[in-house]
Amino acid sequence: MSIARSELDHLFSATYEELRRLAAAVGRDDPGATLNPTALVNEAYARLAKAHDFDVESRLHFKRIAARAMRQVLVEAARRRGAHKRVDRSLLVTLDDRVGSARDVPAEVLALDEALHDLHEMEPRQALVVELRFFGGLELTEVAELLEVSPATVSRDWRAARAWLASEIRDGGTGS
Amino acid sequence: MNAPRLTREEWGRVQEVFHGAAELESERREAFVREALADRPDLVDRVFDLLRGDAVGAPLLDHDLGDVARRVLDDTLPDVERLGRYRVVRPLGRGGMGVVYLVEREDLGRRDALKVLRDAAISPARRARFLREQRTLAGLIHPGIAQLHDADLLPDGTPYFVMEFVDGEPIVAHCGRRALGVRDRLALFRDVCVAVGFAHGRAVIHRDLKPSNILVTGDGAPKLLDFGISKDLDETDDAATRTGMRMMTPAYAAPEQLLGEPVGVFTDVYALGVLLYELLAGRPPFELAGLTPSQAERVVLDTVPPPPSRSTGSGETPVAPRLAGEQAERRPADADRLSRAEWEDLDVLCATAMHRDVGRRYGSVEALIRDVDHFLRREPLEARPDSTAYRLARFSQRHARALSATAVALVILTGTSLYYSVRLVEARDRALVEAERTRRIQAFTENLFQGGDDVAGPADTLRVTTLLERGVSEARLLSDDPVTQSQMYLTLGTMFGRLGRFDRADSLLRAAHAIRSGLDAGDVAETGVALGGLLVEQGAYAEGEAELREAVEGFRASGRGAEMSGALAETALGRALEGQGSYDEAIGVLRQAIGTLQRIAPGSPEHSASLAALSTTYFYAGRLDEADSLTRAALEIDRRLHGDGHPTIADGLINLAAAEVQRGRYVEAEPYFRDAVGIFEGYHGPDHPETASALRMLGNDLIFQDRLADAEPLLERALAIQERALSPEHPRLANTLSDLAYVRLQAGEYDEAVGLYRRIVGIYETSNGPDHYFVAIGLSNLANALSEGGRLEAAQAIFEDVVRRFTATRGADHLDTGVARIKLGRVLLRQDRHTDAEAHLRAGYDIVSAVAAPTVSWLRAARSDLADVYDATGRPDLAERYRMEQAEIDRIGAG
Repeated sequence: MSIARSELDHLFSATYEELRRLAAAVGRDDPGATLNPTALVNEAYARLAKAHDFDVESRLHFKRIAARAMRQVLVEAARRRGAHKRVDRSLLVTLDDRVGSARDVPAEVLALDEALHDLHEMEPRQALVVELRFFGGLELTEVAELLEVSPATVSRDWRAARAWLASEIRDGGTGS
Repeated sequence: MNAPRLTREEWGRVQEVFHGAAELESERREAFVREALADRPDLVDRVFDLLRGDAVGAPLLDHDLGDVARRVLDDTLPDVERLGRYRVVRPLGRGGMGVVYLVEREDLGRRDALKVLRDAAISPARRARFLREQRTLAGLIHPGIAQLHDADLLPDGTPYFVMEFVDGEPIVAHCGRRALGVRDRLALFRDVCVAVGFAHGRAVIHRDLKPSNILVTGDGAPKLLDFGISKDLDETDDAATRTGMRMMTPAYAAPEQLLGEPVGVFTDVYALGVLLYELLAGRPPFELAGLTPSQAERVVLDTVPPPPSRSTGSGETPVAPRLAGEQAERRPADADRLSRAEWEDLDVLCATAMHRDVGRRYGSVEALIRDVDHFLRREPLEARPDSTAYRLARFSQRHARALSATAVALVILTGTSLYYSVRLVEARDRALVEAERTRRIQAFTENLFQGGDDVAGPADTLRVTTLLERGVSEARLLSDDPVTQSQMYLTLGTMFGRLGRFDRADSLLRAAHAIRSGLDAGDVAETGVALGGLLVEQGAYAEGEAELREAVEGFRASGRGAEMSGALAETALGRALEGQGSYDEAIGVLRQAIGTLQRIAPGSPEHSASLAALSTTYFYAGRLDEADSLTRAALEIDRRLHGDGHPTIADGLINLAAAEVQRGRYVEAEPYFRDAVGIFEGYHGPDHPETASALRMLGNDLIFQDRLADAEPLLERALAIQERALSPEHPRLANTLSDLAYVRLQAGEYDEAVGLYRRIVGIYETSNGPDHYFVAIGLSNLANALSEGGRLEAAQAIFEDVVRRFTATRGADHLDTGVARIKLGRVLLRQDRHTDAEAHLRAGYDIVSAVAAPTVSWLRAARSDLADVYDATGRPDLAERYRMEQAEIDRIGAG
């Protein structure tokens, strides 16, 4: 399967709209919508994928591209928002689990993106696992199938990557 | 404390130790790590970092993406005061593509809506799509579509465009708030369809039609907004289509959009169907609140919504109680007043527009509009998955009582003609055999027509007309089979004639007649009878008579068992002769027909019809007793054929009543009229125009009995029905109004009477033309009422006008002119204008006494008035002469 350049553009557009919709659903406090936004992303991609009539293999491949698109859109949006803001480093280091406290999420997105670049240098597969799981909302087994490794390996990759990203971002991995 | 980046090998080593340590209880981890990395102590801290990170978690990764997205995508409207050369008044809202502001262009003093693309830099495709919407709008100049006014870039390159600001409310809310009825809603919906159709004509599909995109302005005009995800029909970029698919609101998304299949004009048709559903039912077809997109999609794809009729509670299943209150406010105000048949049509309309199978949906907005129009004009819908069955059901329901005969006839007709179209292609000789079958069907259908279809009202007639026109189209295809084609034309022409569409009937019957002129004499005669009958019905007696004589001869010549046809031709000829006043010859011809029918088809509808025709002839010939006995004979047959409750029976009873009225036996006429009213009420319903006609006749009879108080409510009821069912200018209203005005006049309610007479004049002017003598009659009655009410000058002016009119249209010596002059004289006398009064009274007296019996009331009035004139002007001898004359006439009359 190959996706044309113009189609990629449309994919990014669609991703953006989907993120907007997700954001709006969360913002409305719609109980049905906030149940599981990751599942919503999944469904949205499933719908996108349907338009291409993929078989299972290429469908996963498509999801991989979609996850990349999602990451890129979020990063670009965060960059635009953060362009005229200074990242408050102290707020990045928080143990607060609830989104809604005084965190600078755009800055966190940028930090995560940068850390993922570093992780990619060390172990591309682990960076991809994070991208697929977090931005793409893929299930563990889907990631395993796509990367042609065992689910256990994906699980280990995810845990190590997550731990590393956590330490990296806390340690000011943005490098600024 | 940023550590240098690890190599792949180092990272592999670190995470291996990390995983090992993570397996252990926390107090044993440090020793494990230090031992495992004894050769690389520099990596120990890295593993500890990981263990800490593992325990704490990454700030973002443990949250869901939607939450993150909400914080990253700025959802607040930019607070700006000026965009380009526009001053921002206030933000209007935001859509998927951009932010919309209400702006004012100060140099023009005009308020517009300005849409600016949000996050323009994120995707070139978004930018392209935004510009495409702008281009699309530029090409759509239509009153039903918000217009593009301007487009430009902001200094940072962000595109924006400016369009007409539509100050309105969403169409569904509008209809609910104004409590619009079904027809108003359909009219509004139709306007929306026209605008969508216009876009389709410009090769643009909207793809996102929904109530919030259709605003209705203060003057009630709908406008389409937001062509943001529209698609050019000739656009080959499939990806754009698919992207657009994702933007759809699931509630209005067509199945093909949800499934990512190709979209087309039919996609907008679907959305229009959903809109129509919501307008009719007061709620959307699918309940999607609180569902995820995929759940909503499943609902739309897998469930069939209840028809809007049931959704509104008009059908058998009541509205769910919890919805009733709120929904009741949003559904059409007259939802409960529509008939079941009308709701069924609306259900079909919605179901067809919303059909999930594109192939069974309306193929275009125009097709949808056509069916909306058919509904509004009470014609059959074109949306027919199983058309013949539908029509059968449709008509047997809609016209269950009033038009059942027509209905069944038409279904058979349509079925037959379709049958022919197919058969003829297959086997030519078979068709000829079938032609004989058609003939039998024709006879059957025409017999079925006996149930007063001509009074079913203009609306129902239109529906039938549509069917007939379709039959004509099919018949035209049969030009290489003249026998069948002429048979079709004959049947269709006859039916058009029965519906009062004489022009269509005439051309079809003439076509049938022309086709047959080279064929068998019996066939020619058959069309001749139909054509002749039609001509007679239109008042072209001489031409009709000629055709019918030829037909009678034709049947006699053909000889091949044409006795029935010959008798029918004779019946028709008898009617033609009666219409021309040739009663004796008519009686002879009709007796012959009756004789034949009595022999070959006793008790048949044809037999009854010939008896009725002869009865009518006797009636007009003044032979009332013979008319009555024939009517009773026809009634006996009709009762056996149709039962006691059939309109044919009522017609016979009215004929009996008419004869009694003619004899002046109003009391004896009354029970016949009452029975007729009862039959019509039972058959057509209490609010049917035919019932109204019978009520009016009964009321008229009561007036003759001087029972005005009894007549009044009947006439009021008749008028109310006719006002609802007929056009305001229908001549039948004039009869009822006239009787009612008389009642008012006698009750001394002069103003009311004057008002009613004025309406009658208006009706005559509209239906007969301003110069017709009916108008003069109406004016005369009006002046009479004015005079009775003491408004002598007004009455005088009108009577003078009436005299002029009658002189012009009826002649100076006509009875009507004479009567009008007597009336004018009386008004002049009452104003003491004795010279003028004398002139008109004398002239009127001379005219009327030349043509009427001396006992008529007008002459009596003239004598009395003349005597008064001569008394007042000092000529007692002349006054005495007229008094003597009157006394003499009274004496003779009394003796």
